[in-house]
Amino acid sequence: MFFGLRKKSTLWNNFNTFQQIAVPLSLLMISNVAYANESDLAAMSIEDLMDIQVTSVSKKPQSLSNSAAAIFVITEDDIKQSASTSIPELLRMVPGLSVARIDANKWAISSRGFNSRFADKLLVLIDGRSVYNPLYSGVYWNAQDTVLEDIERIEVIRGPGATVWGSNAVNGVISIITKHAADTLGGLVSGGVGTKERAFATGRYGATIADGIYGRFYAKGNNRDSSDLVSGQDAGDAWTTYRSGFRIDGTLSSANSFTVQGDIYSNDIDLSSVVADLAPPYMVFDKSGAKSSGGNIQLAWTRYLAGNSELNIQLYYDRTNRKEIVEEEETDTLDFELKHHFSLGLEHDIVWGMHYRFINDQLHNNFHLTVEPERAELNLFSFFVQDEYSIIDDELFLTVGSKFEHNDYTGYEIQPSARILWNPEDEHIVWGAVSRAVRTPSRIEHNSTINLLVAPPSSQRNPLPVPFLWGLKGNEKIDSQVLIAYEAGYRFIPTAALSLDAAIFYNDYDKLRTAPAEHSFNGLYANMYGRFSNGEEGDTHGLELAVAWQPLSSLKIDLAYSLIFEDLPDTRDLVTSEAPTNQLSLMANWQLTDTLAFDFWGKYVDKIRVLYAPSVDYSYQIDDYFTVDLQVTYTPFQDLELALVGQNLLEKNHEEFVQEFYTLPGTVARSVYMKATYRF
Amino acid sequence: MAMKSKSARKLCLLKSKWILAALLFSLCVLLPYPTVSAANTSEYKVKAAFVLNFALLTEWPEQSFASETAPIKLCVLGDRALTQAFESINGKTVGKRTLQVTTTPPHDARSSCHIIFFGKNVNTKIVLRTLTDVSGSPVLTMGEKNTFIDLGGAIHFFMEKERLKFGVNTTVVEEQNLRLSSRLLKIARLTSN
Repeated sequence: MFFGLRKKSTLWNNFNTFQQIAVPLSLLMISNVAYANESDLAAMSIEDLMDIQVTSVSKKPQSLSNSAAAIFVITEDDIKQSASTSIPELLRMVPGLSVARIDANKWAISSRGFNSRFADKLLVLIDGRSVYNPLYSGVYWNAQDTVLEDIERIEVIRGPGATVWGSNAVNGVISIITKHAADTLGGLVSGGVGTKERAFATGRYGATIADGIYGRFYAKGNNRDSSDLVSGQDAGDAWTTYRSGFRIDGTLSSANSFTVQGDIYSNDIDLSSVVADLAPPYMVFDKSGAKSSGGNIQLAWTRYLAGNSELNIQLYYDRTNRKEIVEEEETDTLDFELKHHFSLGLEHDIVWGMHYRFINDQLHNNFHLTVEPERAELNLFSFFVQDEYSIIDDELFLTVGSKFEHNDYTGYEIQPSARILWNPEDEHIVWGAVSRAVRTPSRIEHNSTINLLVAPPSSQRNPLPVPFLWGLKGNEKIDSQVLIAYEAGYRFIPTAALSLDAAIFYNDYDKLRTAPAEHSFNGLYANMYGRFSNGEEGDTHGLELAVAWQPLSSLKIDLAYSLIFEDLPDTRDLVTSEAPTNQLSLMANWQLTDTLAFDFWGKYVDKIRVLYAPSVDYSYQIDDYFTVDLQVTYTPFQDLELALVGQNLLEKNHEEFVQEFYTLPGTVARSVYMKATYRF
Repeated sequence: MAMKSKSARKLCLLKSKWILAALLFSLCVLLPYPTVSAANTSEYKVKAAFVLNFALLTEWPEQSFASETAPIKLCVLGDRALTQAFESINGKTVGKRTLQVTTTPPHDARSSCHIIFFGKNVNTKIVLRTLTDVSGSPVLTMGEKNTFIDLGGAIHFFMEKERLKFGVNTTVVEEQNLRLSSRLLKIARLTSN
């Protein structure tokens, strides 16, 4: 279907069918029986069968996935074994993604290059709700969270997903899928303390509300310590976050099911920002911090029709507030989607859908950021259709489809794709795809003035006798950035204990965003604005590899490797940063005994050059680094779990990224935390 | 940065070791390696054998079958590893009847299945919907999910000390007009609503 998934499933939770395998955290077991070979099993009595010893082997889901796309699934086990305390940190295990922590409360995350705090070519969904900010088309990662134990899986697709998900799904889609309420019955409390994770606590309770209706409620809070600047000073970036939410799932009859869910959150974030000022000393060191809060409510309804066809309707409302010195914004989003999935004959599996999104974005203009109009109402309409055609039953599949979208800035956009999947034998899957995706302009790119820096008169960067103001300006004529992506992949699954997933890609970009300088003088000060334009083209290519190997029933090893080469104009011109050429993640989980488990996570990230406005050449070099996390989990009895975790253990601290402007270079420190989890 | 030069030497040493380890590891992975998986579908083969026994030890109302020799229809929902294992019991004799295994989603579970087996990975929404559909009808439902009995299923498979066990919700079985042999009930973990 959407990505040529022959077993009807993908990011699209709602269309999962009986044959669904996108979640196959399947426990394959091995019978270690000396006295019964397999052919005898059917002749054995039930009493004898109960005496057979079976050992479990868990299988990585992507090895089972028959999708014609570069897909990686983070499972419930992966989440636990990673010892991560936030969603961004979890994503480091995914090949093809760049995850860099800027400071205690900010991350830069992108897929297949173009990383930035304001990375804009990635679509992020939580239970189908888009969480990117319409102002700059990026994600405020510190505002995205949920109870990690309640996440069923995170599906990550590298490469375009625009045919189904539309604009912004240019270089990847991250879909976070939480568990059905019937799968979280009972209580869970967890809490802990640590050096950087100062204190955290979570409570969740799930119950049967009525026959066939299940619900859960949660509340959680995290208090995180500040990081250190490269200079050794405290970065003043500690933060506290509170969050609460619920989910209700029900089955009204065999033909209808529904989900109602909602969350509210509040973040209190310390920031130390260096912002521009036209009066001496031409900069302000601001410590007023940021407040962000918001909430959402979502309704989804599925109607099962004859012939295994499904109709799905989803409606959500999301409110986001954010206030800090450089930006003050309130955004309301109303989103409606309808999807219909059906089979046409035996060969065609068709899905089509309609989508409408209304955004009301209210800015409060100030010297640092001015957006016109200050309040904007944006409308986004789209329609898509996709057909999975089974050319040879169970062996060769062709998936063709397109999204037709209309937005207020560039009008109609067409985003088609064609994918082919060949499964000659059970162990081998080969796929290939060609797709077109666009990144439509954001509000900032369309009409804004961003004042970033003022160079004092007669200084190193400014020989003039007047102050020199440097910034970025929007452009009402800016067009969409266009990607044509060519991808291919191979999956080799020789045994239940070993799977290999490789993908290669060639991304051809056109009309890439640039910001050529425009100079002017207004009598009081000189200024230079980079005006957003579609000035460049370029390409990237690379390889991603994921290996899941279980050499012993008690030992699991996961390897992810990414390689990317960029043939782009200077990334400074593109207002973005270089991608790390090589990245490696190696996770090992060793279940020593029934009560004791040990986890290792090693990560290597190549050196990068990051755009950094305060530097004379606008760039900043980040050295390559490698880190190791360790976790020991002790389960004294079934419902209690105690974990001791060390993160980034090899160095006192290291650098991963630097925000383009406003902040000073920071570091990520070695840290330790303890956690207890009790289920009842 | 001063911070870096201090630990640079130590870092280099650690780094090269680590990269070497990673390379060795990759080699191991890439070499064909005979792993423990020689019998990787066995778990489900054991489960399939269990289900075959259940078919033998369950009594359906007479009107569930068109004739005395009509086949027992077993619907299996799950991923490929599971459905493949169950295909091995297709056509097996169960008393006067044979077992007919279907692994494609049934249009109408009530009339097209006598037994439904839900794999662990079947979407909870689908499990609930199907259980609602067959509620009160003589269809024996079996599942692997931990919450399967809570969701209204009849038989739940689970692991205990590396052995396969099962639980039976007797209320559901009664409501569905099914009779399980005392042999089954004797070895099951029983629950009722």
